[in-house]
Amino acid sequence: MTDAITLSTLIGIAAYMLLILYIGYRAYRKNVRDDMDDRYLVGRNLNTFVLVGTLFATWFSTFAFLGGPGTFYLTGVNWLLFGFFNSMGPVLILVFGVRMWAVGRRYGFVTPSDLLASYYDHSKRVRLLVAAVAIVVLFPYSAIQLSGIAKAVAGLTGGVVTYTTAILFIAVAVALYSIFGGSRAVVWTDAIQGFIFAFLLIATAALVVSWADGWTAGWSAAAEAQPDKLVFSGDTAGSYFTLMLLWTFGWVLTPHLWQRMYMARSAQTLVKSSVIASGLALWVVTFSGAVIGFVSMGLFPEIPAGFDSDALVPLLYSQFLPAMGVVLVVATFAAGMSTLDAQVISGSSIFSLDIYREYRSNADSRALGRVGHRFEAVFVVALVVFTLLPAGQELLIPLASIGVGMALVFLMPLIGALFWPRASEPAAFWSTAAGWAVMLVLQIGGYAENLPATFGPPAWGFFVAAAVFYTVSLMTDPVSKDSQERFHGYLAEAFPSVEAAKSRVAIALGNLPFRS
Amino acid sequence: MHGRGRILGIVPRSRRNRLFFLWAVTNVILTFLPVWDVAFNSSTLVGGILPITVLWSYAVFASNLAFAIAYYFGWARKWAADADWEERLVLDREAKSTGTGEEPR
Repeated sequence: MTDAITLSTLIGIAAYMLLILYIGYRAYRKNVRDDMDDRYLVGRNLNTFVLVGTLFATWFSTFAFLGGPGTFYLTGVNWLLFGFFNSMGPVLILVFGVRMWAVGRRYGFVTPSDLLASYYDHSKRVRLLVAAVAIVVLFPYSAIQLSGIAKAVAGLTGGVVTYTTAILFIAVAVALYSIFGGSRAVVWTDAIQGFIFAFLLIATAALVVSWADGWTAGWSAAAEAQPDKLVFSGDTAGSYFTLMLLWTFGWVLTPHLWQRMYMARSAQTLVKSSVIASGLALWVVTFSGAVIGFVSMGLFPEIPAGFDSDALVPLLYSQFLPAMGVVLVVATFAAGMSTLDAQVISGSSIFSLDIYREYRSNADSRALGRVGHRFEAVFVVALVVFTLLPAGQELLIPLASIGVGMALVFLMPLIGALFWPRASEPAAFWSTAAGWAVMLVLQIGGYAENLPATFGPPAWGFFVAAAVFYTVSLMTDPVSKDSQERFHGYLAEAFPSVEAAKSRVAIALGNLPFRS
Repeated sequence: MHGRGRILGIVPRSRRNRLFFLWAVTNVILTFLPVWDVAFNSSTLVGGILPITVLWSYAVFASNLAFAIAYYFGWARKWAADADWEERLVLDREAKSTGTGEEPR
């Protein structure tokens, strides 16, 4: 029986990888060569279905499928913020995302640096600093994805597929379809991976409730077994706030999500997708995860020795439904790879367009494409090295812990570009630099524990960044009138008040030839 | 300088946007009531549905979604349609002025 399950698991992995590589090949055939918009943003033409799929699959990784429910099980209500940021984050697309989309489309922005450097008077130092932060955000985050999938697969196959084999296998697959298929392959596979992942979460929650003899019995058993995990202790507000802040804004600030704002076909597509993504994230991912985690408290009142948060879902299936192993492995692949591939493509665009082009301004699209491919290969090889070597893993752990949090340093410069004409270039640069430095020093040095409240390094870094941003802006001259006009002027025109829009559309209709 | 923008880039100036902003802030405060141990922080099961803490938190989170839906139908849908329309007008105007018919990038 065990051999049959292992064999079917291996066949399942092989079939899934073949499907993904086939999609990569189809995307490769459809791609427009040497076109940066097509390569990195799918030609800015995503419809609602694919945009929701890629937002969903890119944001939710292996952690949401395995670690999310396990964290509810281990930490109880302290992880309820998972529901807050996943319902509130997409709402931010309505406020920030549509404006990022509008200026991105208008001026041809591909990366986060494009937008921020352009607003801050084409600042070279802002471009390079934002690019550096973005790559540092992406690398440890990607490495953790790769390592997470490999650990899960090694565990779920009982060691038949070793950690090292899984790392190499996934790295080759991601590199192949990212390099050849570009962002088109990534978003197409995201739509499939997101569907598999969502289905599995809902199915797992339903199964857990049935294994616990029903909804009320399951929750009652959980409350009886571990009541302390269903109430807040009252002293965790600082860490709760920190995680809410960084994960909520992560929905628009992490480089690979930021670029998804540029990909929408229209403003209507983006606003519709944000509402759908908010609903799916809240009910499909976080509520299902909460049900799995909390109800499992009654199923497993004693936490097994050596247990970590990723182990809950595999433990449930091994106890109650071992035959589901193959589906679980495929879902783990789906959740992790859909985040990893988006990060590889995002890193490639940032390196080739923000760093390489800054020094080789005469590089044409073909040269930039070649550099991007090479970067993707080097990035994936570096990921493999870091995830296989113990020294690399040690280096990654502190950075990965604040990975998404580091993207918070983009918030103030972005607010300036979209909403506050008083912002200045020195403020954008120094607030980003100071905020990032504070985060790194506090995290790597472990000093945050000595500071008041229980805020983590990302929150302290953000407080410093905000203070520096406002102070320096008020002490220095704002960006040029040309930059203000290109951003605030254009946004006022593109997103007018309802009354202004009505009058302008009426005037425009009067000038159109087809009007009867 | 072009316009005044939001107050410190955060607080909107129009009445309707301030109302939405207030809703978002209230939502965050409501989320924190059990976290601060002020209210709704109990493991008691309500009506056999969910423990109070979980029920309260998900009710507040669901109001995020209600907020998004209200924002979408109340404003964003129309606004986005106008934005798409405006974008076409701007592009059309620029194409005519340059005579190229190409989208400016």
